[in-house]
Amino acid sequence: MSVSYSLLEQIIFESVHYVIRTVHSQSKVLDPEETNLRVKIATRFNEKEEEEEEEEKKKKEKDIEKDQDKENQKEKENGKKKKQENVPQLEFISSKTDIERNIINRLEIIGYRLGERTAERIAKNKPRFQEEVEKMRFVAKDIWTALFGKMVKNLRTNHQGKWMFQDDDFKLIRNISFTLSEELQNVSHQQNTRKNQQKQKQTNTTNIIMTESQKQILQSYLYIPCGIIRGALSAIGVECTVTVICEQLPDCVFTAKIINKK
Amino acid sequence: MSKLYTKLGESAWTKVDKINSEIFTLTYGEVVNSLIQDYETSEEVNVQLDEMGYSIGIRMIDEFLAISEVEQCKSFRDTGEILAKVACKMYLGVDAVCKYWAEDDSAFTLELKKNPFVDFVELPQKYKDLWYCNIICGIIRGSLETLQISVDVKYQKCVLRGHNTNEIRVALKSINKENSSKKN
Repeated sequence: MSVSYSLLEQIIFESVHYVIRTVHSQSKVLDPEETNLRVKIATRFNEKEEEEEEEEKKKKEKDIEKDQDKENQKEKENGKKKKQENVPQLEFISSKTDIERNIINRLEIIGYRLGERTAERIAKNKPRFQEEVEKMRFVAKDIWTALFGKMVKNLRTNHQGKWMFQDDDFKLIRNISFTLSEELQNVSHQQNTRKNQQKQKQTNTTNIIMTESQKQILQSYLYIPCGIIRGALSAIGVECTVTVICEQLPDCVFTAKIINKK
Repeated sequence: MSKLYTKLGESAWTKVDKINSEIFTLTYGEVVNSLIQDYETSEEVNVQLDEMGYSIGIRMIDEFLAISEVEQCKSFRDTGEILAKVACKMYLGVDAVCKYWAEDDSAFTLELKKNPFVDFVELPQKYKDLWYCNIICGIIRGSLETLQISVDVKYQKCVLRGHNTNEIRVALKSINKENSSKKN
């Protein structure tokens, strides 16, 4: 049985939007409470340290008489240093990078589980993969056709554990467009160069060159496919990390770095 | 009219890119899983699914109208038939039926015998109040609202809850003819 691809696309996009929304709203909720908690813990830590310092001082006063002054002086100096060191521990949790990490995590996990299960279903009837190359080819051909409608255009390696999947017409992001802004109007002017016209004739797609901010927006849609690749590879026994680079809109390069466990 | 709609549905189905329904089921399952992590009660998840479906519906209606080439509806009855025969065929690949029309044609029940969202899914006891495919309700509501038809869509029967078929009740609230450019 089959289902329309656009429905799948829409559901994936909507889940990306949903995760971004909820993570942002959750971090706003956590902000005041958690930072107060952190402050309380840090002050208690300070108090404990001060108690310990006092005990040490008392013991040493009782034991030795000659070095008392010197040691007291040293402890005081150490105590001051410790107090200074304690101050930078009062960190605020919900910094921008935390939110981003949370979003990336959740989207990647969705992709990971999806990739794992599709790989299990597809690889059920296939013979065992013996070499790494075969495993990568499995992902490049079978997983890609099942999930994205066609095979990867180019599969390369540096023979040191890095594999690159290049897809010049990545289906999941093909239908994404950015709202027309001044930047994009300048870009569309650039598109009418000869090279791009030739490309357009060949592939029937327009490669959109993006600005930095647009690339950042696009990146959030690419975490799920990264997770899919990672999940598919882990289901057939290859542990790796997957990143993606997307310079022009439908043209993506997924890089899988294999993690060697020794 | 219904023959015309089935033909339109089938031709739209041939034009659309397809994907294996099992993979689709897996994806939807992951999405629902992600939602369940965030909310405690099934009611809240139902609401979230409906909201997600609403935003999807707003985007989907343009594509639907472009690919399916349906003509303007003359009544709500036509809307229901198009929903069942053309839209469900085009997006889900299933034949749906409109039943139990209200007396003044203001409400109907959409029956889906096969629902690809739901294959191989079991609802655990904890989520027995979850309408698993509530996203469909949101999609219908969102797409009809962009056409200035405001509706109330609710799931009535779901296979996962032990009923025989999947039934969605669509009730017309109002049609706003003044502001719409495309009337359907």
